[in-house]
Amino acid sequence: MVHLKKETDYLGADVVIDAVGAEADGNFLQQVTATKLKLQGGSPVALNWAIDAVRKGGTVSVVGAYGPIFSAVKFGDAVNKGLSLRMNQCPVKRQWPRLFGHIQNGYLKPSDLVTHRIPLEHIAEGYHLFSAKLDNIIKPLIISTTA
Amino acid sequence: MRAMVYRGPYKIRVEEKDIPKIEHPNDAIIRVTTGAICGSDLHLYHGMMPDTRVGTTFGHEFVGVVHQVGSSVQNLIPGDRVMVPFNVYCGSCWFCARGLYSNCHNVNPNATAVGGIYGYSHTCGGYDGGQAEFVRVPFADVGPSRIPDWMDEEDAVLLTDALPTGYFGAQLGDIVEGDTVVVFGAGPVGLFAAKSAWSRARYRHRPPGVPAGEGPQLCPGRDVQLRRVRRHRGAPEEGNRLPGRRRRH
Repeated sequence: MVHLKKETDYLGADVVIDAVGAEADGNFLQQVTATKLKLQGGSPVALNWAIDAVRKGGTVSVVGAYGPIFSAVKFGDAVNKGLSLRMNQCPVKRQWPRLFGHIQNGYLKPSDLVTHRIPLEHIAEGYHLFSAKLDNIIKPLIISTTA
Repeated sequence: MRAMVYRGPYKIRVEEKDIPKIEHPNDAIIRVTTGAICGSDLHLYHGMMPDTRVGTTFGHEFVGVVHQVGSSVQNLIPGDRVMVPFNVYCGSCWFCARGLYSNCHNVNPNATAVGGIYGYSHTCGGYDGGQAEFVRVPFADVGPSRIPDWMDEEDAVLLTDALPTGYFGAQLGDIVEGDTVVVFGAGPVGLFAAKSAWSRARYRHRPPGVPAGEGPQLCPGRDVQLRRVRRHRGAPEEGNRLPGRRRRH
């Protein structure tokens, strides 16, 4: 965070994207109240970092998943800094035409991120690997038995 | 059919289930060929999502082959290779008409709060997901699309959630050239968000130790993110601008 502020003349970034969501680690109190005691809809550590890291009047874009109940977000900071908070679940089909273009011309190759291909029968193992972040896992695919 | 079944936090099994049936004339049954576990499935796995009922099947990223269609389905025929967006949506309500497919009003009893998502607990509509051999897809004329012939099936799976969500994150940021962008979270969505952000802006900040002129680089939130982002360095900067991008200055 300090490095980030230095790099931006102590102002903060213009845009911060939160792609973490409900189970962010990094703050013990938030982690325990959210993921252990289920008192929050999610542990908003990443969101609070985002609010800290963005400059005044900047934009925070949230695509991480949060649960439906309240979370302890630094809302006062967001208001006082005049931030634009933008968020939604992605309306997937709206993005497809552009993304098809990016894939076709080779700018994006999403399957590069696939690290594991797991048969459906062994999916429990896949969840365990992914959850514990073992074996440098980034993205596991599930290969169906009928395929 | 074989399907992944939730038995409680951290407990997942593969069990025998009935093949889903057409319940509405506009349903389709898809035989799943490739699915994926999404980072957000882990919230369910950890028991974070309210109303995740025992016995449900997760999985909102899947592609497959049309197995059976209801009597009113016009756009699909059995045998089509299709990709299914993770949103369940009707395509005709006030929200869908405005492109807010993820906020559809007709697919979830809890629709004022959440839209419908395959395999994402009864909070999100209680639809069974695609980590199974077969899955029922409602509104089959609206959601699924045929996979273009040139597209790889693994690319198509990532186009059902992870890539569009990352791209959407960059889009929501209204990034323009010269902006500094920070992405928290170096999972697939975060990496796609970073990559999409590059196509929308030029980066002026470098992390320590990276000499000038080394190409676009993100400010690292954490070391791991820096390492992962570096893999994508070297993408050509020119020619990747989005068509018709609005310029603020």
